[in-house]
Amino acid sequence: MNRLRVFSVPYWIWTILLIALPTVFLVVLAFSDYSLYNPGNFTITLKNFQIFSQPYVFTALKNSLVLSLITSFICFIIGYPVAYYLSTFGDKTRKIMLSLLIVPLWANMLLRIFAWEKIFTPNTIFYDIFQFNIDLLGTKSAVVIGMVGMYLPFMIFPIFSVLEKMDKNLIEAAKDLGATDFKVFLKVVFPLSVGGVVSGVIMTMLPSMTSFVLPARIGLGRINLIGNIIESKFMKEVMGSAGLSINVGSLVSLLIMLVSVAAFVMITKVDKEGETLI
Amino acid sequence: MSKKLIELKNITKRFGDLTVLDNFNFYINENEFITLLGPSGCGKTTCLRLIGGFETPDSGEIIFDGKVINDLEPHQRQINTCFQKYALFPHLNVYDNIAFGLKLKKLPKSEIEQRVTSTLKLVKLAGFDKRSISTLSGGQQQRVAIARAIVNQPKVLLLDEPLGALDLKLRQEMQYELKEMQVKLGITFVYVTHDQEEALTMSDTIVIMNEGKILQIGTPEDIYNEPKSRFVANFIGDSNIFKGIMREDYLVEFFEREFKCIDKGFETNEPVDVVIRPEDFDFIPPSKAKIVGIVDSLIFKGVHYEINVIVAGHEYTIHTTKYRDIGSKVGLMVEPQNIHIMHKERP
Repeated sequence: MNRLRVFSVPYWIWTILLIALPTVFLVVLAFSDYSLYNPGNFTITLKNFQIFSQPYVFTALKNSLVLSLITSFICFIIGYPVAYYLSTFGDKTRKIMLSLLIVPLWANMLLRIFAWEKIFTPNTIFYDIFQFNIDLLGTKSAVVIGMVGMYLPFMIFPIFSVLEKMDKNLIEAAKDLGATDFKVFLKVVFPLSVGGVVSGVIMTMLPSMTSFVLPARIGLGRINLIGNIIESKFMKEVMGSAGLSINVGSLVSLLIMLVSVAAFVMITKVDKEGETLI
Repeated sequence: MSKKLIELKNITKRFGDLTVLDNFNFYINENEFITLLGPSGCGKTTCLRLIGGFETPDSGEIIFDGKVINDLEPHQRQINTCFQKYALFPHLNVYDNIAFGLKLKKLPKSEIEQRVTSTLKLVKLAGFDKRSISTLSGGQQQRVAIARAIVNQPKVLLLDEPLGALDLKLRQEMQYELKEMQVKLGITFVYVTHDQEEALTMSDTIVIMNEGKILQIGTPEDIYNEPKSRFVANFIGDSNIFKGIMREDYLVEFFEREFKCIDKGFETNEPVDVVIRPEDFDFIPPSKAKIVGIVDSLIFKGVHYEINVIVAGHEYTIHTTKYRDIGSKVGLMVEPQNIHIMHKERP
């Protein structure tokens, strides 16, 4: 095994350069007044926390939480039946159907966002084809629809993989013991797929909570999520604005990071073998 | 005369081009322990699934208590199944697994509790209520599976190779327990296995199947002592099969010698198969014997020796408690009632 260790070097370089070091930077920036582009002072301080008293940050946090919850819920409502239906197919059909779900993910995310943008803008190609407008640009509904379209597969996959591995004998056993089809689902199939649902919820909630291009484009900048706050904090400094906005941005980023880590700890709790993460 | 509880009439079942059950007819009496015995792929599990309601026959009728039940869902039948790999619900503990069916029937809580507790006692798992399924051994899971089925007080319990996953010792123990349980509960057990020893130990009736057809139905004694065909003889216990000719009633010729037997009703000079069980041979001095052979190999099996004897170029197996040196000349004798004659199977 020791001789193979050398092959993990690239991984370590990657981890240190792109994950560990930036995290250290984030921590340093978040808890100090050190200015990244204008080095000078370095005092450890908690004053960056003032950002959370700003109403627009609070609104963004609320938007992130509420919109990602709604997105996740809609994904669950649409995704569970799809996953269930897929799991009932034979091996071959299943593979084809699954790849049909995966193919859209290969298209660049920005492209897909721009496509949604066009759909929600009046009098574009969408109108030319379908002769009606969906004038939703700049609304929360548009942002949610966009996010559902974007992240739905991440709900379907984990649920599907749990249902697929479920012992079909359990369903027969439940029927044998007097359960109707509905009861079989309620008492056996669904409880056994909860792990997949939890994974799916986290896998759809996290990216929608932190997305910033989508709300910026489809929300026309009117709907800010926490990602938009972070982005604007970092961009401001790049563009030469004064103050400690990068430090504030770092602090908010750290918060998001903590949430993500907590979410993955949760996934590993409900799913010890990692079977729901394809 | 006991009452017919289940009857399968002219049942045919196909999966695609494969005919799994071919014009299948048999009945099951009340309070009977009946075993469907046959090699894998002979259709015995399909037969069980038809009775349980997990498959529907392509033609024919399944009659339960005088009514045709072809189209009833599994949960509408007074039949419960103990599945091959137990199929216990992993998200429920022992108690909730067993109470599953009772809760669906919306029985009062106190009755559920009382029935689950007494059933746990019956399967010797008292005190296991709160245990999670994953902490149980194979044998304990097996008992939970049985408990989960019988707690519903079905008229029939279907068991699909329930002991297949257990080790030999546990399997033998469970055989006695199952039989005991069946007698105690007074319900019908339909048992599927490919293990002839299991079938012989527990059953009141054995149905021997091969390739979707019934070859013989009878008590274990009947089937062991009077196998109707070469296949049955071979499948139930070890057998030595000789080519013989039926000279007249009660007289058969093999090894160019005539032997008295107890079979009749064959045509004169009809070619037949002669089946003799390994344990039915006795050694006698070669000078007095009609069959003489040379000991080819000898294996100690615990209770007996398994001796292979070569007679006229063919090898035959003998189970005996007597020791004979390899290479020695032995004479063999068989009592007339131990010579089983059967019609030649058409190829």
